[in-house]
Amino acid sequence: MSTQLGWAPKRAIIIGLGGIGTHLVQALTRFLSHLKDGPKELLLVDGDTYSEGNLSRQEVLGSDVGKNKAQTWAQALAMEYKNLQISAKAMYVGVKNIHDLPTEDSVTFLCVDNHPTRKDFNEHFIKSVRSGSLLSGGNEKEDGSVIHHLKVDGNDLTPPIATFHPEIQNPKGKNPADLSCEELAKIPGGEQVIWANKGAALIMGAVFNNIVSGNMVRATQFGEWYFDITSMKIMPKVRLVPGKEVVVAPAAVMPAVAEKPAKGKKGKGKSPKAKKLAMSAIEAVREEDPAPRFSPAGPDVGDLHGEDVPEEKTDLGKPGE
Amino acid sequence: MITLTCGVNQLPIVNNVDKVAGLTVGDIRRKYRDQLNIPAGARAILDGKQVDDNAVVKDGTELEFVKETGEKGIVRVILRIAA
Repeated sequence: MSTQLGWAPKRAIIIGLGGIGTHLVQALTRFLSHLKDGPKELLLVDGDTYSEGNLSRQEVLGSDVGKNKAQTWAQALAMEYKNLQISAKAMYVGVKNIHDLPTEDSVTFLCVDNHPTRKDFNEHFIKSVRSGSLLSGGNEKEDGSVIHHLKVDGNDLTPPIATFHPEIQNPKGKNPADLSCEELAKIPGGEQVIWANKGAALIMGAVFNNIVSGNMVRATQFGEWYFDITSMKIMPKVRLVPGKEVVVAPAAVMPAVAEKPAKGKKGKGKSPKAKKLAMSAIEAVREEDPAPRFSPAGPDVGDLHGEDVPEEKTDLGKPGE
Repeated sequence: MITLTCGVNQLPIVNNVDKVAGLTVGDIRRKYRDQLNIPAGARAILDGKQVDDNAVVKDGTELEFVKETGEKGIVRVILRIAA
């Protein structure tokens, strides 16, 4: 049984060249330029212009202030990377124009700072994309997360980004694409530090590396990653597609787990035994394939304090446990 | 062992399993809210499956409270504009 993903992206799209996007775009472009058999097309999308306030944590020069973010980067990178097709769209993305983007067969890096836009992309990928990857990164001041929705031939290999996030499914406020210029001008930057922005960009780039590897396990074993720059932790999370509790990736390399649902059923109601086998398969695959570049933080109580902690800490001190 | 997580925080329950096994997700949410920094209304995932607060946690399981993804203060601002 194949362990291959069976899908390769034709292009990369970055939505938002702000706090996260500016730190992603340079490394991603360099990576694409030197990647064998990888996508050679990069589309940058942002309706905003750089301002003085961006200089503290975004990769932008003072001379770029006042210029459109997407166009600034596309022009600069196109001069350096001649083997790539780099283009820009100076626009905010919402339901009215999201279909103008070539998200099919693309890896879309969603580097925006608001849930309404994430919701629009979540629904677009559910309804309109047959094969594609949506990577959504977000951060607060010193911590954040990246969520990955991967679809191949209409099948969800990891869940849509809002599946476990009601804040995306039911956002408050509006998509910037629906705001007037006056309203947009009143939106200040949030309190963030550059290292948190870089943390989100790093994880998004690493997930992209797993996708272009073409390996099913590497691309699908985790669906979300949390990080915190104060404790230097990255915590990957397995995200199972609701109704399909048997994981796709391990099934591809462990035929015993790859139970095809009977006709008329859609994988619901898996027995506890099958579920346990699936979870065991994940561990087996992880041991066989050292692919994860970000290992789970492992047994650790971190900064936790409470009645259980001292006793648990004692046990956790034993190597190998 | 029962593993409790929220964001990057992880708390493996090793010695006190008998005190935690049998509790509901709601019980654990209240008991470990401060230790794990569990946000109000966080969804609960028990061994990969979303559950409600009445689900009972058993030995050998992993319970995650899903932390919200980051957002740059835009919601508050827009609400103010809308008001």
